Amino acid sequence: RDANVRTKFVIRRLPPLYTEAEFKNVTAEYINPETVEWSYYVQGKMHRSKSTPMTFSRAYAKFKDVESLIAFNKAFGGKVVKDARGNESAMQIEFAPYEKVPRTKVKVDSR
Amino acid sequence: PERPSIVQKERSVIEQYVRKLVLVDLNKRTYHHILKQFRKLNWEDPESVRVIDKTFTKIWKVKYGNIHLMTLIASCLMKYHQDFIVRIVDSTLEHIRVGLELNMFKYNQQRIAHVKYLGEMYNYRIVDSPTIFDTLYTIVGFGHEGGRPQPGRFTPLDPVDDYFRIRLVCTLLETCAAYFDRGSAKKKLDLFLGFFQYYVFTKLTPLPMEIEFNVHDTLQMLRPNLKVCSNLEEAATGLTEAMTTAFGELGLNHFEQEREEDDDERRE
Repeated sequence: RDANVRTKFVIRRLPPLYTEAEFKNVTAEYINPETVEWSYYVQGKMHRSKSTPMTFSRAYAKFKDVESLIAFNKAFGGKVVKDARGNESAMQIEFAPYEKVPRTKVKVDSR
Repeated sequence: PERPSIVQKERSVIEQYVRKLVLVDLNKRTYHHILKQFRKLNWEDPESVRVIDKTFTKIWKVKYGNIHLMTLIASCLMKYHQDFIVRIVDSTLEHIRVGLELNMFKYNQQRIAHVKYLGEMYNYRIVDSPTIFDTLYTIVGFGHEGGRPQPGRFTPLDPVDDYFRIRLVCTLLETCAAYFDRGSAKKKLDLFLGFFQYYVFTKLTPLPMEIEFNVHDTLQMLRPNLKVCSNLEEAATGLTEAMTTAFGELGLNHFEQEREEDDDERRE
């Protein structure tokens, strides 16, 4: 595979309380074991102190091919989503600045 | 008094232990032992992994001088726990980006720590030089039209009297740019330094003393023979020269084209 082709996406600015399950549900058609090699979700946070801005949730996905990546971006780029507490925000889809994903074979640490 | 006393955060035993390891015990004599302790933790248990992720992501909680030890430990864990490494790199880059988006004074110290962390990640071969250059250009160009800062144009995210980004760039360069001394990395750094000097002069001048010294020290360390620009015109000429050397005679056009292609890609 061409090393210069970037296929890892970061989906930023998901509402803080938007859950991984919700995200998976909504994107299941585009992000599933058939289209992505590896993906994970980082839950955001509403902070107790009001002066602290909320932390958005975000997701990362490494697509297997450029087609599914474009398809996903077409379907979801700028889409507004809402979490349980009514926070709305438009998701921002970008190439992840760090392209690497873990190898599938994992060495077990003998410790 | 009436109000309830401040409730202490409840932490699991494992979290208390990990925190003690990195916040109290860590120094250059103990890091080896601490690395062993980390390897012995239960990496199958999501709760432990969450705790480990947290300690390595919230790097500003660690003593500044210990950041390189944390990176060293992380780089040793890379062999067995790649997914963990990918996650901390991803979040470090995200933190740097969010810092630029919010640009809040109270996070300045955290932002310095993150940039330092990223630089150390290059030193310990967790990230490669393109990632560093990407970040450098993002720091300088973020929020500016087309990623190109211009004198006299107001940008809400990076006002002319806000010199903080200069400190970020200096910190990152001082941490890892000493290794950009040959091959394509050297050329890229020369180009970036041209760009950076230009950026410095898009700010309100004269620069505050400590910022000016910071810039001078950084340049002095990286390129002792470099002519340091003293005004915007010089910096602009310097940038054009740097671009010409980097891209040959057709330099400018090529550069523009490349930028546009980049932009297109990003929009896609």
